[in-house]
Amino acid sequence: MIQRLLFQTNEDGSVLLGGLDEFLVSLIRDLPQVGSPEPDSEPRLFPSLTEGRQPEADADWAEFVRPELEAHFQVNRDRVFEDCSKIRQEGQRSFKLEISQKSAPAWIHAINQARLSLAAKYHFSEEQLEHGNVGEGPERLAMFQMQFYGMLQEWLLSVTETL
Amino acid sequence: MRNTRGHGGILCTYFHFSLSAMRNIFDLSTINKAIPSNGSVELPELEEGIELDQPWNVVVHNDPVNLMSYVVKVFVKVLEFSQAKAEKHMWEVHKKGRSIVWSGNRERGELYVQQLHAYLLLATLEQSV
Repeated sequence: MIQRLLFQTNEDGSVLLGGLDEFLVSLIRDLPQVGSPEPDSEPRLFPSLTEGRQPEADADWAEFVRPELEAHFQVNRDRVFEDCSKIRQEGQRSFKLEISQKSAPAWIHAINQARLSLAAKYHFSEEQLEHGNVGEGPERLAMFQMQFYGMLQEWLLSVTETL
Repeated sequence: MRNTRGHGGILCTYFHFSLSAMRNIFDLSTINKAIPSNGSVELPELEEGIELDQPWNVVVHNDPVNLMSYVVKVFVKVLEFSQAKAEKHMWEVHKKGRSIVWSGNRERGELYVQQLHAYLLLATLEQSV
């Protein structure tokens, strides 16, 4: 059975994502966890200032800037986690998620964290990311997850004025 | 000219002045002896290895994960680019692998890099050569 997703923009600036099945809901609920920093993703989530050309400056960057970024990223993931608690069942096997205008930037950022983390964790190459051709197993699920998140992000960007 | 060290680089601050203005402020009787009649002062040579203050570049590097539309929005938001300029730099990043999105003093450059990192763009600070 093909389930149609519903993308709706409301008059108050909020957006509604409907027609979600349990699997897609589980991917959405995973967002905050997937985007949490891990050893594989940390270098990408927290890049250095000079890429090693000035080790002292890079060390300062890691000491003083990284904690601020960590806190900022956490705030976005927390907002998404909170919004996920508002996912409602709208039919027998269909769910809907409403994202307020205020929450939209946090979703865009949290999706970005998750996509970057997945790409780093599974070491996807540029070609794999472009064509989505990966093997079976966890890599395939991760690639689907990235593409689904990417679609969500693209939609949110199209309906959101500012980041 | 005053040299101060910062983050391993050299930050040079140039004081531009006219001799007449200086005379109004300081007693230049001792300095006058060293000033040639044409009014120019020969500055001491810099020590070997000391760089002049070249501008710092904020460089954004290619990233196959970030969406193009997202990168454009970040450029508009952080660097206050017009839509057209943001798209131009986004394409430069995509095609050439990097784009210099801003040049100027180090402190402001660091601020931009920090903001771009907050939006998860791969940005670095490099000194112009």
